[in-house]
Amino acid sequence: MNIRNLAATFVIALFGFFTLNLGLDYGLRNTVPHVLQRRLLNRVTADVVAIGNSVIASGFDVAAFDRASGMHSINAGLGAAEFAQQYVAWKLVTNERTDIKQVVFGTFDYSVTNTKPTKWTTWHSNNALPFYADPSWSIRYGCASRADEVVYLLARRVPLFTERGGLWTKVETLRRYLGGVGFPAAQINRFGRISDSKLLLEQNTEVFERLGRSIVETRVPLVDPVADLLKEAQQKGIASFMVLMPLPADRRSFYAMPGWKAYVVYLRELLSQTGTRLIEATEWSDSREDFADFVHLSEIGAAKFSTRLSEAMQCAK
Amino acid sequence: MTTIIQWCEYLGGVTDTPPRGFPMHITWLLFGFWWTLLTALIAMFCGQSSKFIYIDF
Repeated sequence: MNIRNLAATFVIALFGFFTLNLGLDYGLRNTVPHVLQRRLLNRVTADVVAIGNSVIASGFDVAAFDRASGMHSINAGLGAAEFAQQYVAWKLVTNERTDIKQVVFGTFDYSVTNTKPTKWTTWHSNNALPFYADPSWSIRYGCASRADEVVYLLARRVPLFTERGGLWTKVETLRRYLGGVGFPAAQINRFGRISDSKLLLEQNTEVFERLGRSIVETRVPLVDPVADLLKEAQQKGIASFMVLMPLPADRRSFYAMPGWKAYVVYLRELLSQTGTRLIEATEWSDSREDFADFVHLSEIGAAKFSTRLSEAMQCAK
Repeated sequence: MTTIIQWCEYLGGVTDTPPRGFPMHITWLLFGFWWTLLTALIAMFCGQSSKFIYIDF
């Protein structure tokens, strides 16, 4: 191929790349984080906002909470969200409004003191939320250097990068369908395969115990986005509550261990610095029907939890 | 095997002349679209290297 034809081919490919990006931007405009962003920017009056990952997305029942509390609430939970994404959800709700009076931050186990670093290059699917919002809200959590920040600012404008998780989800759904042909159907719920939810929790009691002790002994701080969120809430006069979300009864042995008990005392101490109240709801749900899988509350469980949460928040004030 | 290699080399731009038996002559215009298609396919399937694809229905 001569240079002229090569250049022409390159121009056509560039045009194709541009069209591909436009198509993705339009075709994947209704993915979960896009819909959440639009919902959070919708200025519906609210007194309470619930922030967290899938444990809040599935566990905070707005209708039940509002009925019990007499207030209006928003569920800003996002499945599989890392903390930077949860912070962005918080900013989307509170950045330009002053009606929020309380924030509920839902978490489980040792998540909020998890020292595993995050990097923006790994953000995709639901975790693509920061790409759609003001980059100043997330850049400090995902970028390690100034050069990294420059690339981040460029990459967030390329749908082929930011929406790749949406593409992968479609391919993965097809792959799972084809992989399941001839086998009994895998049980799924809104967050995917039920068996996968077990991967979210530590299953070894010794490791769990050791981890709790280690966090307390080395005085691991709250992860930055959570610490920032709670600090901002305090500055804005928003009462903050951190909730250790309900988990199935078969995990009770984990929460009876000294390492966990010491961790809860330590967490309460950390939270007191921002006036945040800790609500231990880990053992609130007993029934199997309260859970949709190994981690997430079912609709019935969410309604019961949210009603009780409202009462606990009244008492904790 | 040789035929497959020759076809791949032509599609990859190693040679300009289509190998014997190749059904068409790919012009610069078609090559442009072919590159776009390859980009789309790579973008779609490179997610398999990700450890866990989260699906939120």
